[in-house]
Amino acid sequence: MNALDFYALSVFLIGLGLMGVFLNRDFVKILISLSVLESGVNLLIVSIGYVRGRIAPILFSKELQASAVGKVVDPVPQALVLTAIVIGLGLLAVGLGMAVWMHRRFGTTDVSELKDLAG
Amino acid sequence: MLEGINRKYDISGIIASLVVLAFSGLLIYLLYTQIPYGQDKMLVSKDYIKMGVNSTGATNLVTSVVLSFRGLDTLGEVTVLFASAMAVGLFLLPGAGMWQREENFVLRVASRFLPYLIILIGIYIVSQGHVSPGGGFQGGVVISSGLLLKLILKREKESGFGGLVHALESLMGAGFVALALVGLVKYGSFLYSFGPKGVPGTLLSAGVLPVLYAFIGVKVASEFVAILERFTSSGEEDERA
Amino acid sequence: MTKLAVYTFALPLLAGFLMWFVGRLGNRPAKAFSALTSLITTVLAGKVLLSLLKGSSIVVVFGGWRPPLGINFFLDPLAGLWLFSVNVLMFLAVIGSGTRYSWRFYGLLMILLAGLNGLIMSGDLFNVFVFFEIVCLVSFALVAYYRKRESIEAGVKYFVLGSVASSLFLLAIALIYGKTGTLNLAQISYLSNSWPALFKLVVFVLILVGLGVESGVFPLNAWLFDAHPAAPFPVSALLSGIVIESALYVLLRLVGLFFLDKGAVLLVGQTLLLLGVLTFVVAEIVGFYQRDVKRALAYSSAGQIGLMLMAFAVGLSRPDLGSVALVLLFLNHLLAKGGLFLSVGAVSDRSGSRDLDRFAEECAFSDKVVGLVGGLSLVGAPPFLGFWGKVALVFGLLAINMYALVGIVLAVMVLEAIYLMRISSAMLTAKGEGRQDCPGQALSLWVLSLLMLGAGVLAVYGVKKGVDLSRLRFTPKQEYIQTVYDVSAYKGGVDIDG
Repeated sequence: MNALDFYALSVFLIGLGLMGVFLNRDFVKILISLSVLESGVNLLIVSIGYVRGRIAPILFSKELQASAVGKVVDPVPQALVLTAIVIGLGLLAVGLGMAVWMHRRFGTTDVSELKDLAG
Repeated sequence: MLEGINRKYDISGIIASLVVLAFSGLLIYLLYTQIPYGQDKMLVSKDYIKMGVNSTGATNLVTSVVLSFRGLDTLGEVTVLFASAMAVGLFLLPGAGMWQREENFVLRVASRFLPYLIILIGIYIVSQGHVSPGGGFQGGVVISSGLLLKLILKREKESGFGGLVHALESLMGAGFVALALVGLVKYGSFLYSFGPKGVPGTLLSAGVLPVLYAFIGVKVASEFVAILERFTSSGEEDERA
Repeated sequence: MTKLAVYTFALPLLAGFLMWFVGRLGNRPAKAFSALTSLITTVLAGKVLLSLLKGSSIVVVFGGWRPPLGINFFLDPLAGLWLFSVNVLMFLAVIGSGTRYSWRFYGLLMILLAGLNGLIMSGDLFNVFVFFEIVCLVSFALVAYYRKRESIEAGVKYFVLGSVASSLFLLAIALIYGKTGTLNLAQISYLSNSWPALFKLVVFVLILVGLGVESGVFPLNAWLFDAHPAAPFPVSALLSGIVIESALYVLLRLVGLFFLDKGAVLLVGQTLLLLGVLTFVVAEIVGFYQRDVKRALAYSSAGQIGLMLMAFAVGLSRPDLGSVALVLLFLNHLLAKGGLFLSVGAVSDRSGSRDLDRFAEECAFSDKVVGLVGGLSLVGAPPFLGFWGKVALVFGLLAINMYALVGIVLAVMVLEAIYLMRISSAMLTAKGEGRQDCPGQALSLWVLSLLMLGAGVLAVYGVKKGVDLSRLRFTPKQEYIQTVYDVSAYKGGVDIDG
């Protein structure tokens, strides 16, 4: 996979997610699009950290520890994405909580019907 | 169905698509020219790689970044999860009978031994987080999946169970902050990674880091169970004015 | 002193985590616990503020790692003031929240406080994102607290807009990290001088949209006008009083650090000025026609954010007028809008209606006082803070030769005055004798009224005595970088900084 592949893939996911959020009427589908958007951004972050020809940032041997700088990929994007994924998860949980509540109380998850609901 | 979508979203849909398309093109152009793929673009990471093992004792550099160099982000992440669990508890009222499932042969047999295996793997992932890929969050999620498999066949809601997960969540979160405060009070900096460094690469190394991961693991596992319990409980949503 | 700053963040966090245990004892203990925590953080923040006003900026180091290796907090006098004000309003909102909210509500409020405190102080880009997410998530959840249709509609709208904005902000962070290799604000600021124009533009737009949604900038503030009426009134008070302002604070801090080099200052300033004017004018004109009291107040909040944006833009060429205006407008809005929501919200809950003609049936005496004082303060009557803030802004606009804008702004201010006074007079002329849920509500309203009365006078007195209000500004780039790098004179190896 060369440069364009990973970057293009992440931008594609971002674009897809954005369109999904704008165009969908069902709240659950909007949530799914949001997840796609977030995955796209996370993928982008990780692929930014990649360096050709290097290994994962786990220095499992003494020799590796001594001369590590030119040998491993960037550990920071991986840490960032770890956090970002969990944050996205938290958001998704709240969103789904809203969706479940909406469905239980009003019987629908269609956001265009929100204005017409009684309550 | 199709006609409803077309009529409502035609113009705005087209505009939105065009904007997103243009933006994506711009993004790709920028990425391709400004941030060369596969090249060494590290700045602060070079120092992380140089000093990570010696200062924290963890051979997994990502762990040393997550828990030591950027420990405050991890605390924030833990907080986000906690807040979302609380929020879900706010929206969805508890109901009767969470785990009501049809008797299913495969499920019944599998749930006798599979959950324990899964939980064991989860514990392994949590405890090895500082020497191999893994850590509190990843392992915690695996543990929670094992727990849920175990609980999925319970017919009545466990009475003391809800309380246990909430207590665990809260205690682990508070414990994390407490350990961070120890760093502040005793060593002068919040979230300072103290504790015996040990031999890097072994299980008992990296000082307080595996403890932090253990806290996170338990917290995440109990949080997930609590959240999913709320989702599946069939509560009557009454007026809360 | 750095320890105190950390405690303002760590204590509410601890309180939030432990809230379940307190909640076992009931909802009132949870409220008391939150009030105690926020009182403590207010006192601590006050001490930090005093030390900042006397001395120089504070840098706090985390994990024992000096920046740019570790995450750091940065506090200049403005940050100290912001921090203190946020904690004050949180304390007053908790006290004034009445008796109907659950322990989860207060737990989320404590987490919100921790997130806001961290957001104001943070000196690391991704750390800012994490705290921002904490604030957003809790806000989404609290807006949708009630079980009504309008609550879920407001909550969903806010959630979707806010989540997309967060992802766009994260995208900007990804681009910045890819380009610079660091996440430390000072270091990025230093390196941002060499960014190509297109890159800067895209990142600027991403950050503007990402943070602009939460700040209430036109046209991204559509969620504001549904969220405020639907949310529980303490939440509305906090949203208008500190949440959107803190998002604005972060936006302005980032703009000031990354995008203000010689070539771009003019463009950035004009963009922000334009956005500010649009936000103000559109919000106030629409607000004029509102019949729902809380909704009208929400439009007023958006308008004030517009004014603050304008003040920042003015401050780029005239810091003496612009920064002062920004601070005064912020403080004024925090006190006045906080007070107005705490009283109007409670009153409309009691009377069951939010319509202009009927909401004020159950006004207690302290509600009327706040209605009068808050309304006057917000409108900008002398001698309140609002007056001085608006005067500073108008003079600033004149100083940069924006005469047409001055005309527009003044005209719209008159509109704003009219509909705000409608609300105040409705409360003042209320017939019924309202009973408040608990004495805490009266207490918080009185404190806010006194603060508003006193602040205007104090500010004038202070300026006469030579207090340099212009120290309360966003630390300019060079100074910011210098302060942080002094701490980081790092030659390798671990070192602890207190």
